[in-house]
Order: sequence, then structure tokens, then C-alpha cells
Amino acid sequence: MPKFNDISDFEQLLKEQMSGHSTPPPADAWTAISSSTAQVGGIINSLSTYLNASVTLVKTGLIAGSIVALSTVSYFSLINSTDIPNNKHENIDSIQNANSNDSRPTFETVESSDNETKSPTQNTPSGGIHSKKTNHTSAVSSPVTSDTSSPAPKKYTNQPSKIIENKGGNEFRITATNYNPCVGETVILKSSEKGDWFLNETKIASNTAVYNVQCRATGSYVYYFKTPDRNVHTTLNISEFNGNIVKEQLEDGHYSFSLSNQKLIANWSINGKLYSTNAPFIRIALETVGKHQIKAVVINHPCAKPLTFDVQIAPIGHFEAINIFTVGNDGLNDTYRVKISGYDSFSIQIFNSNSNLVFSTLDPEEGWDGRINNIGIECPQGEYFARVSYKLKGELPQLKNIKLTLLRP
Amino acid sequence: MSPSESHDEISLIKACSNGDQNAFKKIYDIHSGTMYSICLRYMTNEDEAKDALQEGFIKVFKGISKFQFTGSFEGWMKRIFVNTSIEQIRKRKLHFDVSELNTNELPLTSRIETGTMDAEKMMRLVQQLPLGYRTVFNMFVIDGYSHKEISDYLNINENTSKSQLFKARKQLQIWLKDWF
Repeated sequence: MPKFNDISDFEQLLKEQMSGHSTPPPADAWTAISSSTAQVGGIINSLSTYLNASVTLVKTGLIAGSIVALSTVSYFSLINSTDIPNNKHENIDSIQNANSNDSRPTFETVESSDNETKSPTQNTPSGGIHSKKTNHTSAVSSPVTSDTSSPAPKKYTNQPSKIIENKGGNEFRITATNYNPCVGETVILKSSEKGDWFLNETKIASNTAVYNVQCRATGSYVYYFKTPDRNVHTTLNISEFNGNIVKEQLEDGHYSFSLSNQKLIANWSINGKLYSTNAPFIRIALETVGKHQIKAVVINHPCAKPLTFDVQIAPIGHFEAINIFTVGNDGLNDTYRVKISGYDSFSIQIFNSNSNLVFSTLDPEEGWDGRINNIGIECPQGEYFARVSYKLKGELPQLKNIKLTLLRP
Repeated sequence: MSPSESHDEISLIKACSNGDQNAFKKIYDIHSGTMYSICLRYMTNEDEAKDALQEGFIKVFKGISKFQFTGSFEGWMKRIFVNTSIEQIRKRKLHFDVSELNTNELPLTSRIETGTMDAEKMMRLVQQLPLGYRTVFNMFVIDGYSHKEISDYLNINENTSKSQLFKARKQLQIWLKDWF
């Protein structure tokens, strides 16, 4: 298990994780936005000044102004949206409690009502799962805390309670905090009444309404809840995330990055910038020399972890210059030219010692033969300066000043 | 990113500031995930985060003609969503806890059981912080606001901002004690 040296390690990791972090919003979020912006769209075209003013107003609104206390209302609605508890008195107590500590998670403020939960008996059933004694009774025993205590995991637990049976007017529910958990997660099974719990044929707990499942191995596990009156079951599908990024270089020199499991889709980013969303693979031309990090945040697997892949792009281009040449047809450095390959752009200008231009070209194959612009009068022996500007593929533009010597036989 | 892509962004922004809904939808598709993640960090639950996301995008659409192309467009948007989230939090009474730290452990569902610490788990942990701690922690640590800016935005004393941050860190240390 990795360790943090101190809180700043955690903060650093958090900051890194969050900087490009992306959570797909609910599918219906766009609807409301598009309907409001469709209306203001017309206004924008005609009355941009009005809008400028309104943006300023928004900004001022952030800084100025007093705070309206709406906490009671908001908490009331929060609690109303959760399970309807059996015990009315307990419910009222909890609401008051929540209001008096309005910003704190409810689990810490509600006194544990231990009447319900005894520790489940310790059995070790087969199938790689075993019971775990709960030492957080306040989190699981109070009906109110069951949902309000942990707003964050709602994402994983947004399946509605399963109403399995309806006998004698009382709703009987058996719920799990997560029906599709990951290996390593703890799932809390709850029923409206006390009873015995079984995994397949093995009894794993008796006379309790709450049972904690520690997910150890993948598979479907059927949990039975039995009382003299009832025999119901619920299934947990425990999964594990196995996936990685596969690199492939295509014929046209582009790279394709895909996920090893073809059913997965991800939001992809390259060097921390979002590149593509909801895609099983991406295709990209990577030319810039150096290291690139490809990151895929898988969005359709409950246990997914962000995947990364580092690609090293090696230089393609090459540049080399000599600084002496002899005019004449001796076959050795007869014209002055630089050696360059794998480039996007190139130019050379050669000046004499009085800074007058004597030769220039954009074609690296065309060398200087020692005459002004290769047609005019012959330049004397001596020092010249070449200014070469070029850009090799995937690299930054370069400007080089080269001192060269012209020798005549 | 390649020049053509940043060019695309510029043309999208320009189209959008002329009221082009399709361009705006493209901007939404590209950035909504990142922005929703910000809203989730600040808000208490997904419904509130969705509200903040919607309000934020409406502000983006209204204000996009003011974008000067001087900094990153994403950074500009992030600021809007942080502001929108804070605005929403301020509408409710933000309570700055001065009492002792809660030494309880996290409820089981939120505890980090496995050996890896990923973004979702860290986000869940931050979301468990009391609202006051969480807001300051989010702004200071993750979004890089100074105590001065935080105190202006939240209309609190600079020292309150510092002490909330201190408490948030202490609280996280308690929850993360197995990780040190």
C-alpha cells in the first residue's frame, strides 16, 4: 500500500488527479442549458451591450451581497428525499440534529441508536467473501443516516431500493449500497427487518438487519435473507477493472491508441489536455519530439481507474553544417551547403564581412559557389556568415549563425 | 495540441459568441466533463452539481463574447464554474465550524479499502468534509485561490479561511491515518 509522507503528498496527488479530471454529467443536463441559451441567443446578437452589463452584474454579485439563510429548507428537502423511516420520533430528532449542524455530514451528529444492530456473527463463507464486523453502527443503523451520511457515494448507489415483497401493508425492502461493486469495496446489505443472511447455502449472519459484504473476488453472488415469513434474495455482481492502453502505429504515420477491452469507452487526454470524449480509441499524429502522456479515463466501467501510456517520439530530422569550403572543381566542398533532412522549413542567407547579402535560398540542395547569388562576380577569400533558419519535423524552429571560411586554390 | 485544433477552438468560440447553438453544443461536449467534476467537488450532491453545471454553462454562453483569447479558454471556464458553485453555496448559509474536530472514522462506504488512491476515491473523501472546510480546501488546494481571494469571495475573515484550511487538513489526516 502506498504511503503519504504528509498531507501535502495527498494534496499534490489530489491536485494532479483533479486537474484534468472529468466526470460525464447527467445526460439531461444539456436540455435545460440549450433551452435557456436558445432564448438568450437572439438577444446576444442584437444587444451585446446589454449582455456585457449583465456579465458585470454577475461578477459583482459574487463579491457583494448578504447571505440568505436557506439551510432549513434545503436540509429538509434533502432528508425528505431519503428513505421513509419506520420510527417517526427518530426521524424528527435526526432532522433537528441535522439542522443544528447544518454543514456537517449527518453521520457524525446522529447518536448511534444501537437497538437495531448487533454485531453479525462471524462466519467465513466460501466464495472469497467473508463477513466483517461493523464498528460504525451509527452509519448503518439509523434510517436517516443511511442515505444522507454519504452524499458522494450516491453515484455508486443510485439504484432504487428493491421492494421485494409487500405483505400486510408494510413495505419490506432489501437494499445494497451498491449492486455492482468492485473488488475491495465494502457493500452494506440492509433489510427492513431482522433476519438471517445466507450466501448460497451457507449461513453468514443471524438475526440482524444489516450485513456488510467485503468484496474479495469477482463474480455474481446471491445473498438470501430469511425469516420465518420471508425468503428473498438479492444479487451482487462484483467486478474488477482490467484494462490498458494499446498503441499502434498506422501506415500513414499516425498513432492509434485503443483500450485493450473493446467494450470500454473513455475520455482521452493528451499531455493533460482533453482530446476526445466517449471514444473507444483515438487516432492522432504525434510528431513533437519528446515524451507524450496519453490518458484514458474509462467511463463505462464502475471500477475503472485512469489509464496512462507514455510515448516517446524520437527526432526525425537531422542538421549538420560545415564551416569551410574551397571553390574549384576539385570535388571537395565545391559549393557551400548544409546537410539537412526531415525538415518542415529551411532558409539560408550568407553575408560577407561588411554584412552585405551575397547569397540566399530556400532550397538546401542549392549550394553557394562563391559568386554573388551564384551568377555575379566572384567573392574574395575570407570569412562569411551564414544565417540558417530551419525547423526539423516535430522540433522547435532553430536559427543558427555559422561562421564560414571561403578558400580559393 | 496541434495548431489546427487550437484554431478550431478559436473558431468555435467566435461562432458561439455570435449565438451559434451548434458551436455551443460542441463546447459543451468538450468541456462538460471537466466542469461537472469541479461542480461535484464543491456541491453536496449530484443534483446540486447539475444545477451549478447548468447555470455555469448559461453564464459561459452569455459571457463568451467577453473572452479575450489572452489565457486558456478552459481556465476561463473553470473560473466561471468555481464562481457559480461558490455562489450556490453562499445562497445557503455557509457555516464555518469552530468546534473540535470529528475524530470518528469515516463510514465504511467512504473508507478507502484498496491499495490505490484514485480520483474518485479522493473526491469522495473531500466531499465528506464539512461544507466550510471543503469549500476553502477546494479553493485553496485544488483551484489555487489565495486566502485573500477566498476571504473576498466567501465574505469571511482571512484568518477564518486559514483556520478552515488547517482544520480540513487535520480532518483529512485523521481519515487518512492508515496512509501515512
